[in-house]
Amino acid sequence: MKANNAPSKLSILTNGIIKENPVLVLVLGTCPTLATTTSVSTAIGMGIAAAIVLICSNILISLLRKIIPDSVRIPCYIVVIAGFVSVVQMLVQAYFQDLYNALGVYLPLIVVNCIILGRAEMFASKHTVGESALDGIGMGIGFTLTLLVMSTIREVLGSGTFAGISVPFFSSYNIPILTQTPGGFFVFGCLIALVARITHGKVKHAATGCGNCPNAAVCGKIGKEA
Amino acid sequence: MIQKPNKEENKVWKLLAPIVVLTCIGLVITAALAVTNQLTAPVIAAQEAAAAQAALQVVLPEGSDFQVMSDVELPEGVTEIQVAGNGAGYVVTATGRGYGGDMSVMVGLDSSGAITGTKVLSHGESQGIGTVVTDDGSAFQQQLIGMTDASGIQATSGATMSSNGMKTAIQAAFDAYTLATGGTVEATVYEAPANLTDDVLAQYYPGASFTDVAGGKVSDAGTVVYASETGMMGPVNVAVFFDADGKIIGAIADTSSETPGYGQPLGEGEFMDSFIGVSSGSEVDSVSGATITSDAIKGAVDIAIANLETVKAADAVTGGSTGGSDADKGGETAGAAEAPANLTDDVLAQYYPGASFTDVAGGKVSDAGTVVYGAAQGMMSEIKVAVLFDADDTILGVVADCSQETPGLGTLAGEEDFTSQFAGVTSADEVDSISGSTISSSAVKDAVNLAIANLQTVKEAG
Repeated sequence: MKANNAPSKLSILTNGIIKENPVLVLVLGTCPTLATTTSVSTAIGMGIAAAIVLICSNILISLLRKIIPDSVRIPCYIVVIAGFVSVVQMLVQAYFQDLYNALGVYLPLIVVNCIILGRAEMFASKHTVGESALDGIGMGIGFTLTLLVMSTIREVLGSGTFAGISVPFFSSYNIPILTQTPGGFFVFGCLIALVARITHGKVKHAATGCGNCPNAAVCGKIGKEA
Repeated sequence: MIQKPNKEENKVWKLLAPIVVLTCIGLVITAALAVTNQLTAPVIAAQEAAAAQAALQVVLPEGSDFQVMSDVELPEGVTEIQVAGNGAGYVVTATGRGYGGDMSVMVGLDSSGAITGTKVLSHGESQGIGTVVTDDGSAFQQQLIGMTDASGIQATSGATMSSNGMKTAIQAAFDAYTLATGGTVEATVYEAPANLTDDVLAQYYPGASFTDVAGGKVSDAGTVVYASETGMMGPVNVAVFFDADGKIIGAIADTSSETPGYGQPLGEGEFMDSFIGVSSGSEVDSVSGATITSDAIKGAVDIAIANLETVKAADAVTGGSTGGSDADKGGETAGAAEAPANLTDDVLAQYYPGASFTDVAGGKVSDAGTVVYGAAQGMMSEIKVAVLFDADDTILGVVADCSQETPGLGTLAGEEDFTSQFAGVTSADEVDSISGSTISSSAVKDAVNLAIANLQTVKEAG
């Protein structure tokens, strides 16, 4: 499983970072992205928590992909994802109390994060365990990096701090609206535009058929063309 | 023929597979959760206990080894009393009603009963207005340090409702301290509701003659007990009628300051009659849409039931009168209101060019329209308003005299930005109160509603 197809495995891993970035290209998981990027520390916490759930659920769903009957696959995915989220939630509450308080309701809401359900349906249910794990890692890194970039912009420009530490110059010239909801949309829009500019022309060739479509998970035809 | 049973088997398995698989996955995941919970639950509990202790030390820095006092009867509004194991003092968690509902406040008191610190645990106050009081380290909270009674607390201008909520909580905390240190809190002596008249008494106790005592009235026919609880807009005074055997035969409440159409109608009639024969206010269902007012009345009825014996045993007071005359805040419409000072001829000419008015009781009349006066108690003074109606009884404008209210806050309720919103409305409830000037602007609204109600009376007077 390890030896064959090395280049394609690498591309599975790197796809999630820019080319198929879950937030900025697939436009999944917008809600936690906007909500938790007001400060760098909560954004990293959210990214890592979601990445752990994503990797674990990808591996387990890939393992079970032959056993799970088609008709109940979505309930099965949800149960698996919800289980991992609850485990992560309890661990965070026990060992990272501050992060738990900062993430608030968004931690349990990872259950309905469409990146995780989307990857389960789009990728893990059709690929081997190893590939699914790599996909989970890649997507997790992509999600976390995106949150990190967005929260850095919003926190440094909006409140003049980075992870709570005061940044010279920026601390005297704030743009407070960036820490509010509208500011989240501004930064989100700008980043999508930036990524579209970087990947312009490449994405269409790289992504296979409707694998690039955010609605692919629900249309059920995904993977047939790939 | 051999294939057939196989096919059947396949069919059955096709039907069963989803159920079996989903059930198995559910069981495995549940087991995993149970294991994780077993491992993390003690850690989480320890964390929460440590966090709670840390919070206690914010309000009582010298305290440690806090223990919940379970052997002390908690006074009203107090949810918990904790004593510092090292004798540094007490931490009381108390609630008070602010503008946006109950707020929970933690108060630290040293061993001599002086406040060492306060922290608001939860509140629903307006951002930037009520939060001036509730934020950590606010001027309001800083003044409390070292206080040994609640009488000297200064409310913060523009956040009166929030300040009053805090005051209630702080007062409750002082009561808790007194109880915790073995003292007794003097029972509050309640006043009669304004609508308790001799006529009402005669209805429930025909022919009986009552003697006023502290907190009620006594006679051979039965006992009247007063009580009060905070409703939506302020205290709701209640009188509960007991017969000679101590059974409830009726009750009335003064809800005149509650929200018209919601809390206000509860004070007399069906809702109050539902208390007849009950032994606890909780036996009565609250009224939907008027939960806060009905809960206040239910709470007050409970207080009255608890106080029945005290009132029966109380000594007669001299000079007592029926009904709380000082509590009568313009709820009655009998006395005609006077004109606000800023209702000048110029203002009239602006709204009714060329009209000539005749003064009548409670207003002015002319062919062009009617001016009706109203009044209501504001923050610092009685606010007088004049509501200007055209000939078709539509409101053209409102003039309110808020000159005696807090400058820059209450006076806003008299300015045109606010009063011009009344033009064309059929009830003042359609206009929003001003943030930071709730009491004054609500008073203007009440006065406008009063004037609307009196329009026909004034017209007939003309």
